[in-house]
Amino acid sequence: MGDPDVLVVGGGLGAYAAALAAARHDPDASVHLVASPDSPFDRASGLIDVLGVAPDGTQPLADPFATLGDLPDGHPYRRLGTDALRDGLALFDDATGGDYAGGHTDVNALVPTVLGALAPTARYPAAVAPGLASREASTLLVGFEGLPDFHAPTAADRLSAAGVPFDVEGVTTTAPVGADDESPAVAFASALDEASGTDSVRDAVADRVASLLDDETRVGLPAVLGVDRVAEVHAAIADAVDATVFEVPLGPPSVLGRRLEASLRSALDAAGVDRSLGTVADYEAAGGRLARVELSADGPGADRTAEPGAVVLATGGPADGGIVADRDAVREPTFDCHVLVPDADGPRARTEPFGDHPFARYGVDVDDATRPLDGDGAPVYENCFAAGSVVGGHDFVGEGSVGGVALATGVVAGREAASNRE
Amino acid sequence: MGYTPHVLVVGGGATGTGVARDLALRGLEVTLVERGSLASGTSGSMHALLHSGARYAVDDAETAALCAEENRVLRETADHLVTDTGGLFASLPADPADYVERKRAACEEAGIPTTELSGAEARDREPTLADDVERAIAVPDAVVDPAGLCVANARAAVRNGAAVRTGWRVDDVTTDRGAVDTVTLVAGDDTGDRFAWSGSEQLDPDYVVNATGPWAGAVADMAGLDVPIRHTQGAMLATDRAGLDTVVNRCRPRSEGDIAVPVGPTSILGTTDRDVDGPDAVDRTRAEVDDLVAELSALVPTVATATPYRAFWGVRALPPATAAASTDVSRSYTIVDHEARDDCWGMTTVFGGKLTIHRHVAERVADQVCAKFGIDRPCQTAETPLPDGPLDVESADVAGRGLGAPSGPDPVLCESVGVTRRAVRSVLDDEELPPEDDLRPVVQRTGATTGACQGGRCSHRLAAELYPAATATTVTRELADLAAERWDGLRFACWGDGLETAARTYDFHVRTMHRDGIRPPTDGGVDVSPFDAGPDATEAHDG
Repeated sequence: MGDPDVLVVGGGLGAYAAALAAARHDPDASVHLVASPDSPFDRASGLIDVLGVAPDGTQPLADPFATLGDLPDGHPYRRLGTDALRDGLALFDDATGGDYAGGHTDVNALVPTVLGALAPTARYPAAVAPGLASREASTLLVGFEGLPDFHAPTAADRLSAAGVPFDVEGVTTTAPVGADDESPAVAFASALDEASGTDSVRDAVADRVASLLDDETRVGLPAVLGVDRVAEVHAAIADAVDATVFEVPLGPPSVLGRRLEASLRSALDAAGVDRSLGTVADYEAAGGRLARVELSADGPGADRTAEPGAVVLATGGPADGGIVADRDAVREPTFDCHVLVPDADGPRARTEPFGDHPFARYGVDVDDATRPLDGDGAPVYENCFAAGSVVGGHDFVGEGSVGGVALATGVVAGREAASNRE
Repeated sequence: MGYTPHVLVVGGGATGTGVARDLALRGLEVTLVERGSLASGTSGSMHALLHSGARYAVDDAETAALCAEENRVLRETADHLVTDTGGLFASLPADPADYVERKRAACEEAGIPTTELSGAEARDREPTLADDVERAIAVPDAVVDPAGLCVANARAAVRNGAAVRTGWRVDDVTTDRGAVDTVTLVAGDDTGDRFAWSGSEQLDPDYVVNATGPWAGAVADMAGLDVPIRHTQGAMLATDRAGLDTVVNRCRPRSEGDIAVPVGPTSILGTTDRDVDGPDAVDRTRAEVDDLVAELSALVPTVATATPYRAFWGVRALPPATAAASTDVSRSYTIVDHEARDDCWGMTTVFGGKLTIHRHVAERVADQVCAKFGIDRPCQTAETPLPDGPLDVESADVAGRGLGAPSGPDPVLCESVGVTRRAVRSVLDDEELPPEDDLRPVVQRTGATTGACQGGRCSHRLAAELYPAATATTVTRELADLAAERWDGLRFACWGDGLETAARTYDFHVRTMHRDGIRPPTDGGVDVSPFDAGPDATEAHDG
């Protein structure tokens, strides 16, 4: 790979956004993305949330952009500005093309989840769009016995109880799919990708769903309707049932997440970004800069040393291994950046599952250019920038801003890295 | 036989279910009430050690001998619930030099077979032992399934005519002219709404056995009887197996953090012993769990790097320093005959004891109850095998579970333990001990949610299995309860991969499932009108 001008470490949305932003900001810059093989997209809902709930709010938030000013000082949206978020979303919309929707408006959509709750989100897969709660269309949810993550009858009951403005029923059926050695969701998606034929799973599922449909005008199925041939699968089922078909996000392993990853990879390839699998084994700093990075290859290829012009740290949060802890201390293990640790001596998680968990705020503090800061507020390295959930100080999961923060930090980190390379 | 007295046993732990089984086998009419599910108190919150007795040999010869005897009885009568791991008492350089000899001599005195091992021989048996273990004693410690034991006792009682009523708690006990008169039951445990039924009911039993463990003082108090109890809390940490195959004890005078027990896919590190104001006042701290790991790491170094799964606490009930003269106090359990002590006929209170000796304690209580009615029938529990449940263990073998198989799909619901839908259904469909819309029996009997992900990936799947017997509202509540219970253990295990598990669970439940956003049916509903209806919104309203 030579010595890239910009080395992006990480394989999630923040990393992809940073790599794309760097390559677009400076088309002459060489950009390399090194991702760990444990892809965070496998754990992604596939929805891109910007802000789901206002500070101290309890209801789903309709207009996140009208609320950004209420966020606390130091929040990435405040620090980087609304333009960074808008640029990040524009980058995302451009990279994903017709695969995603939501860019036509600032307001959130409400996506029915596997449990029949409504998740507020700013961008959603086109395959999910027909299921939005604000569309008044009588709905049949169909689950499969072999896919226990989605129980359609209880999901439908909860949607009804939540007062959605349409009739919704849920049924469970079977499908001729085997899953001996892999996740049933992946097995379903692969089987549905197969073209039609005499033993076609796609046809069998379409027939089964058609037989269950009464007079509903849309059908919700678990998000396993193909990995590569999504449009074909949707069309085949929609034709057979004579209704709109939408998917309900599942996970992990998230088929929607895998589709998004594939979509973003194509965008990286088109932008000329190199990719490889691996992790940072060691590094060397000199003169206040990250001078050398040793990468151990995960998969094909050999261990390498790179002397990048600039580095983007996008390794994720505690869920991704980007922030780790032993019993005594919390660390950022890749470049040993200072980590914000609220309530360091207290419990790391609150009693309530959705409490204000200290661990959810673990991450690096950053400046206006997304440089990680040390304990005194000075940049750790002049040429290191952070993107995504490795940034801390706020509970992006709880406030429903993981996607937007990844895009806003990613776009700024990528640009800054491209401008600050030596 | 003539007159058959009706005995109400309060408490579904080891002692209560043991008493119910014993009395039912002796032909008495028995009703067992438990406010939660079976083994939901102290019996379900222990390290699963089936004592050889060696642990108590030096300080308490009587308990040691009882453990030795009951260990043999349980291996005979409950073979399916016992795993013969063997046990080691290992001595580190810091431990008293003569303690190995003292322990060994005391074991011999109590009838506990021992084998003395060098450090190297001990590490041959249990390679995870620290390099500086100098000597060890091998003893017949084993592992028992505590909840399984309570369930088997209850099942035996039911098969002998007893009624087992989980989800009912005692709300009041009245006395009349120096005798226990009526007992009022109220549906549901302290949360008040766990179970689908509601209401209260008055029973008029001939005799009451108060076997509520650490809560025994509160139940006795309802009848105006004073049963002083000292409570201590004990912390335990479940980790991954950490390579452990044998029960490992530290060979030193009993203290905190000196036992590690391999239980299924986990190892359980125990325990602490700290005074606490009452059974509902447990003070859970990160420091107490840290102390356990630090202490055990000296003996079994692999536990320092093992993945933590969850911490949990049990509450012991002990007699206070000064017990009344008429009270039958062993070092480890207490039986109060309220007629003898308080001139109040109709109630016996029992607390303390070890799970290992629960059958013996139950026999003593049952003897006392039978004597009250002039019934002279021998105890049969030492010879009668405990029944196995209907758990569909075949389906725990997850290989070859074709989703299109003729028998229908049997998907794995809990991947980390390997529990399939059929296994879960076999518990939910158990007619002898119906779980009554409660997921805890499913968790206890299948082990689901006790592995690496602590239910983060599967609690919603398990809850859905309650449908359609239970409504979606009940499914939601059971899901919330199960997830909260697991979280309350996982939140003390937030280091190493435990932190990753907690963060992934939080992320999945919020971002993918939006579980925190499930709206109660009573809140008037959501106004969807300000939200995006999609890029083609103008066409979206024609459906």
